[in-house]
Parts: sequence; C-alpha cells; structure tokens
Amino acid sequence: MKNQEKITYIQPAGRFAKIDLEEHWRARYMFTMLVWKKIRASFGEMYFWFFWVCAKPLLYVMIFSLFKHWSQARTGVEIPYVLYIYSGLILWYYFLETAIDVSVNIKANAALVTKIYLPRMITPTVPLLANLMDLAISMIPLILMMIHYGVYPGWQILMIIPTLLVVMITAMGTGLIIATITLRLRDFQKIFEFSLYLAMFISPVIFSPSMIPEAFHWVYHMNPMVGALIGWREGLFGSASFPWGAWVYSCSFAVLALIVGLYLYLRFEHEMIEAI
Amino acid sequence: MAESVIEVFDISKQYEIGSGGGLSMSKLARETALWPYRKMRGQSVLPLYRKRQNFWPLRDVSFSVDRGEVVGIIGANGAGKSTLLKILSRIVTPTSGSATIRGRVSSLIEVGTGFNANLSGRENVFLNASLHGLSREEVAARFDEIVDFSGVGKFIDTPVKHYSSGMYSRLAFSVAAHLDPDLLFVDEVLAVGDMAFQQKCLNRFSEMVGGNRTVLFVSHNLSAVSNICSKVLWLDQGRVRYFGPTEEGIAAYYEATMPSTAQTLETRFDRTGSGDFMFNKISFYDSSMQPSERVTTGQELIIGLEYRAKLEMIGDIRDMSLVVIFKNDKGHRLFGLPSDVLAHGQTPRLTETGEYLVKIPSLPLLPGIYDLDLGCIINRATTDKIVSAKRLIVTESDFFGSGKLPPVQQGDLLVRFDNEWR
Repeated sequence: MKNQEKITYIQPAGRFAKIDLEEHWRARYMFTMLVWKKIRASFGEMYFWFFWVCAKPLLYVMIFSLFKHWSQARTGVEIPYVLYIYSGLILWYYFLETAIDVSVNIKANAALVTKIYLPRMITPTVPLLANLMDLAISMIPLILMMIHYGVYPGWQILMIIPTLLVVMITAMGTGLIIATITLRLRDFQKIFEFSLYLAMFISPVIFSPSMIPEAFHWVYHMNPMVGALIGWREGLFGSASFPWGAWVYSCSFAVLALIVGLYLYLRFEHEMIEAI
Repeated sequence: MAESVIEVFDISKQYEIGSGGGLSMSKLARETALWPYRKMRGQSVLPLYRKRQNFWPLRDVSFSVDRGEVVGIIGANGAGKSTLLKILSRIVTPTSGSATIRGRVSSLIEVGTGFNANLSGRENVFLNASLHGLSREEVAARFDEIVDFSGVGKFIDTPVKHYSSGMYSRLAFSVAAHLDPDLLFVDEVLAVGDMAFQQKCLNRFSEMVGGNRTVLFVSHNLSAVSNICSKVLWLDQGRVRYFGPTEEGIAAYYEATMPSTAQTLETRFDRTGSGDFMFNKISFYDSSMQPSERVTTGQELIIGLEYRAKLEMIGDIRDMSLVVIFKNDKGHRLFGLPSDVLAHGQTPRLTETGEYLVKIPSLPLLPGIYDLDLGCIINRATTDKIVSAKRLIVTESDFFGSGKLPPVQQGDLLVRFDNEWR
C-alpha cells in the first residue's frame, strides 16, 4: 500500500525539464475532456455551425475561381481548380489555426493553469486534436465536390495520414517556438499570425507551382508546408508523381521545429504561467 | 510513529517586479537602430531588459506535516500564503528549495475551475472532476452523490449559465467535496452559497478533515482555523513566524496584530445612545490586576471599563445598568453581565470619570475567540452601546480537572455542576 503511494517532488525549474510520460498517460481522461470542451465551446448553441466551418474556404474558392475565370489564367493544374483551392485551403486553415492555438495555449487556458496543476504538454496538444474536427467537417463539401467532378482517390489516399502528421508536428513545433518568443517580444504574436496569412499566398494553397515565376521558386519552396500540401493533394486526388524533395524538406522542418519548440517551451513554460 | 507526508525544505520564491516581463518591438528596433551611433559616441548601450527589482513572497520556508494533520496557514495579506499553496500544488515552481509530497493531492485554489457557462451541469461536473485528476469511472461512481449534495436536482442537464449564482457555486463546491484525495489543499473556498449551504459545506469539510486525510487550509477566518485545524503555520512577510499547536499560534498572532493591551474606545463612532455616559476604554486584567490580553479557560478575569459621564445632563439616577455581553465567533450571544441584576441593584457610585471593574472568578468559555458588547442604560434610556467593543482570546486549560475539554460542537460554554455523571 505504502509503496504504491504517489510521491511528488517539487523542485526549482531546471534547465532541461523532462516530460513525465506516466503522468501524461494518467491524465488521458483530462485530455479527452479538454478536447471535447474545446469542440463544444466553439460550436455551442449555433444552428449553422456546419456552415461556418466551411464558409471561409468556400468563399475563397468562389473568389479565386472567378479571378481565374475572368483572367483566363492557366493554372497548370490537372484536377478542377475548385478542388485544388478548396483542398489546399482546408489543410492550410487547420495548420494556421492550430499553430496559433498552440502559441497562445497558456493565455487561452489562463483560468485553468493559474488555478490547477495540469501536466505540461496537455494544453498545447489539445488544439491538435480538437481542430481536426473542423477539418473533418470541411471534408464533407470536398467529398461532395469530388463526386461531382468525378475525381476519385486511389491507394495514395493512405498518404494523407503521414501528411496530416507532418502538418500537426509542424504546427505544434512552430506554435511552441512562437509561444516562447512572445514571452519576451509581445509584438511577435501579431507578426506570426500575419505571416501565416501571407504565407498562404506563397504556397501551393491557391497558386500551383507552375503559376509562380521561375525567379521566385526558391521563396516558394522555403515554405515548409509546400511538401505537405503537395503530398496532401497527391493523396486525395491520386496523381502519379510524389514530390520527394519537398516532402523530405517538410518532414525535416517538422522534426526540427518540434525539437526546438519542445526544448524552449519546457524551459520557459513556468515563466509563461507566472507572466499571465 | 507519525509519518510525515509533506516535507518542505527551505522553499523560496522570487518574483521580478517593475517590468511586465515583455520587451516591446519598438524598443528593440530603436535600440538596434541607435546602436552604431551610441557606440561611436562612446555612450553606454541601454540594456534591453529593464533593471528589475526582486521581490521574495517566500523566504526559506521549511516545515513538515504528518499524516492526518490539519494545518491552517494564516498571515496578513501578501504574507505568501497563496504562493506557498501554489508551489505545493505545482502551479508555480519555487526559485530554490524543494518539497516532497506523499499521496494524491487535490488542490482547491478555487472551486469550479474550468466550468463553462454553455455546458450543462452534468458536463461541467465531469470536466471539473477530470481536471482534478479523476478518471471517468471515478467521476461516474460519485456523480449521483455530487448531484444530491449540490441540491441542483433536475437542473443538472441545463447549461450552467441559467443557474442562479448560488446553484452554480453549490455545484462547484459539491465536486470539490467529493474528490476524496489523500491530501487536500484549500484556499478559502468555503464561503459559497447561502447560510444553510455554508453550514453544509463546513460540516462536509469537517467530515473530510477527519480520518487519515492531511489538509492544508489557507484562511483569514481565524475561528474556522481554530475549529478545524490542529496546527497553524503563520507566515509573516514570506517567512515562517510560528508553526505549532493552533491555540498558541492564534493567540500569538492576535497579540502581534493587535498591539495595545488596553484598547481605547474613544475612536469608536459606530456607537448608539445619548452620549451622557460613554465608555472610554476597556481593559482585561488577571487576578493580580496585571493587564493581560490572553486568558485561559477557568481563569479569573477582571474587565475594566473606563468611562466619562456628564452628571448634570443625567441628573437623578433612579436606576442604572451596565452590561457586558459575551458573543462567540458566530456572533451568537452567550451570556451577559448586567450590573443591576448581578450586584443586587447596587451599581457603584457614578462620578465624572472613573473605572468600573467586573470580576469573573472562573471564565466558563472554551478556547476560542470571543467579542464583547458594552451597554449602559440609565433611567431606562440607552446612553451608550458599542457592538464588539473588544476581542477576547481564550486559550486552553484543564477546566474540569479531567485533562479534557468538551468538543466545540457541543457549545462554547462550560458549566461546573455539583452533580456528576454516574
């Protein structure tokens, strides 16, 4: 009996904080409840929540389809342009919202973290799962459109799982890095959010690689989401060639961002709680 | 042998004050732009971080608590009570020092953490309990009990934003009351709901306190501390000033925070009456007429009442009564000492100024905190009345010669009968 008793050691925050995996495993129900609460809270009492989730990407699709139609631009995309934009936008929005949610996780959960002890990786990982709900809902119009245009995925559909994982890890990593930077440089939060919106236009979300002038290709490929986005579309629409180069770049960026992000976050998390 | 479940070694906490912690973008830009200029002119480069002042809410705090002990943490505002509780709850980390805690902790810095207005009562119960570390099965097993205790009843599936504030806090407290941990850290969360529910909370809390549970209880309510706690930890400006048995600790705390033995009443303007006779000062003396602030149960107590009277306004005195009334910490009157009744109508002669003395040969009060009301009635008209004129701290002694005192739940008064239990 005495041996099973839980022993808690309280010490000053060290340079290299560890993650207590057992503690996180025991907190799994807490984690589930927080994910569920975040989903419930964003849709609570709305009659048209389904519509609001899909409204933003659908609006962009309308605007850019009209542009394309009027300007007679050649997109160099084999699949219908509507599918191209929409599929890119929903993944981008998942990335953008999750990265921002992770970066403000302490502030958003101030009411909790200043009153109760939560294992440290709980609050930053909640948006990763909770925001998948939005993505899942946005998939419904996509599937309807795919049926309409007669575009069906092949075996490559399996690729969307590793692609999603890469997106999640990238969002987590960058979010954690930004969370730490904004501890000292408050303006950085806005800069970060702003650049995420801007980056949408220098990525294969709306413009395909062939629409970008040759001279700017290096800027375009700097975006770590390029590989993930191309991989996502290959998976969904089953085109033949897989962009190995961009994919490897995306994966390495994701892993690097996660390592740096975790290191910084674990080291400064206690300061963030005190700074609220 | 008692086994210590909380061991705290030299815990200190430092906060930096002065700067909000952030460095603004504009300052960074300005300093970067000016850097070559300053360097050229040989000016000192401004530090990017403002010089900060250090502030130590906790300094070298050490203590240890045995299994089953109930420790009240007292002290003035800003003495570090809440910081200590937050460190032991792992919400913040200490700057130096360490602590070991054995057992499952529930920390109630507030009740209803994580409650969401749009969620139903049921959903909030599960959410809140999960945040306190309960598993789904554990919450489900206690759910009916929680709902019963809160009295929310059929509204359990209504979003809590439609609850009255009383219902809301009752539900929040109910979850807290059913966590059933080995160690309970509480920060003054008992004051919720209406009077009846408050009483229910206190009873429940006393139940929770019983048994093998170890409790740390941060409170300003000294009577609650003296009722519930077996020990007190008195923090003063971040340091431990006292750690030991409750009665002594509270008495010492009172002595330090209420400096003068004889308290003047001239600055009390919240009095009623004509003012023809007014109390100036109230003092406590022991049997040898030495001023004393502390009295032990069963000891002789003499109360001195200095007064000033306008004899020409009063005129002939047909009857006169001076009254001292003892109240307990709940504000209930325990007994009074009316001079006209006790002294067979022979109230001592009235002069311009003077001091009346009331002698209580054996103080029949349990250890605790009591307040005294004063009143003077001359010719059936109130001339002066002061509610809670002075506080009396009674410490423990062997009143019955049995080595024990009755539990406080049986009342505050002690009566020595000639009859005995047979």
